[in-house]
Amino acid sequence: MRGPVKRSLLQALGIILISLALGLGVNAFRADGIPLVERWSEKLAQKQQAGGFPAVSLAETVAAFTRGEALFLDARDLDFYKLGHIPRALNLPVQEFERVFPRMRERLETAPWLIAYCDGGSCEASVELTEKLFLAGIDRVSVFPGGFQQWKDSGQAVEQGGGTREQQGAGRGHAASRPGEKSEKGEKGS
Amino acid sequence: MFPATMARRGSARPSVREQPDYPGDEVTMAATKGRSGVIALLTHPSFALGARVVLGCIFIVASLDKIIHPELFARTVYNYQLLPEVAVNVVALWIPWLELVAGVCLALGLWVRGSVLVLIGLLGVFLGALGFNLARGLDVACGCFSTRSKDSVTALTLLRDSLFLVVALYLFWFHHVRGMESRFFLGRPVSPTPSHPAD
Repeated sequence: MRGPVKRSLLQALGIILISLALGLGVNAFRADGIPLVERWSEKLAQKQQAGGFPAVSLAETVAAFTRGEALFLDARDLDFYKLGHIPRALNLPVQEFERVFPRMRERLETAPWLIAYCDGGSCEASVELTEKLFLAGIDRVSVFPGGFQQWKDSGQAVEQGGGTREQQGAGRGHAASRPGEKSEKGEKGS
Repeated sequence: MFPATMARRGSARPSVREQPDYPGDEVTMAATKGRSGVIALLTHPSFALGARVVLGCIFIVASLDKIIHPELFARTVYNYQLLPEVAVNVVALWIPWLELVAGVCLALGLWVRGSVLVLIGLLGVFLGALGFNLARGLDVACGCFSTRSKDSVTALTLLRDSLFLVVALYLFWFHHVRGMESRFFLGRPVSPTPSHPAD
């Protein structure tokens, strides 16, 4: 091979390797990096299931829960919520949205990220809730299409009963005062 | 003749001047002298410098949005439906940086020959992918300059990339076939401008 040709090919190879290293290296260090291998067909099916809203997988949901990055919204009725829900999730039943939403509006507006879920499978409450929130100006909501079923089946922690003052109000039509909630709010405000 | 053309290589190996690596030189030089103004233009180092900087900058600009939004670009790559699913993300992470590095090299005049080869390869792949999807009637977002716009691929997209390819092939001809070193923009201060007018 002639010298100049060889040199050109070596340069091209150098550019290829440097760019590959930069692409993978920068991706590894940036906060919004993407996995090197992704099951796109599954992910897009999930997204379709999420009605076009951003969808999160079980793994992403667990990660968000563990790191405390997201506030979870249970879109099911209070009865189902009481039987078991993702710990610390707020209950915002889609049927009672107009009544309950104003009570938790401030909290939802200040949350950096919200994840809505319902039973999983073919339930639509989480997507409907996300739509309503979107129309109310809250657009940082992802849908967890796997829902509570997938959460429970994967052996994640489950919380039962109760709920916060807002949710109590949602189910019974009045605001039940809970000292714990008050103190939490107090800390938040200070 | 342009003695300085060979000066950089020639300085280390004076005999190079006597063994023309690029036989096309003699012919085009003759043409430059007399007949063809077009060839005079195409062989002018400033023209090559301009083409190099413009093409390099186009690739730099095209790479930025894809680098900033890797997920959106990966989605675009997936939508082209040309790659196996496992390769989509790695390719989507790599291609924009390849555009950037090659574009920067080309614009700055570092590793010019290698970057020209890379850009010809890239444009060939782009044209192949765009043309293939256009032919099979798949309406995909181009993702060429922006990951967000929904610009569909049309014949105009092909025409635009073909134009870029023509420029890249011209640079290939200039640097590889004719063996010219174009005027450096940054870096080594070598210039093929004839220091001694042809005699």
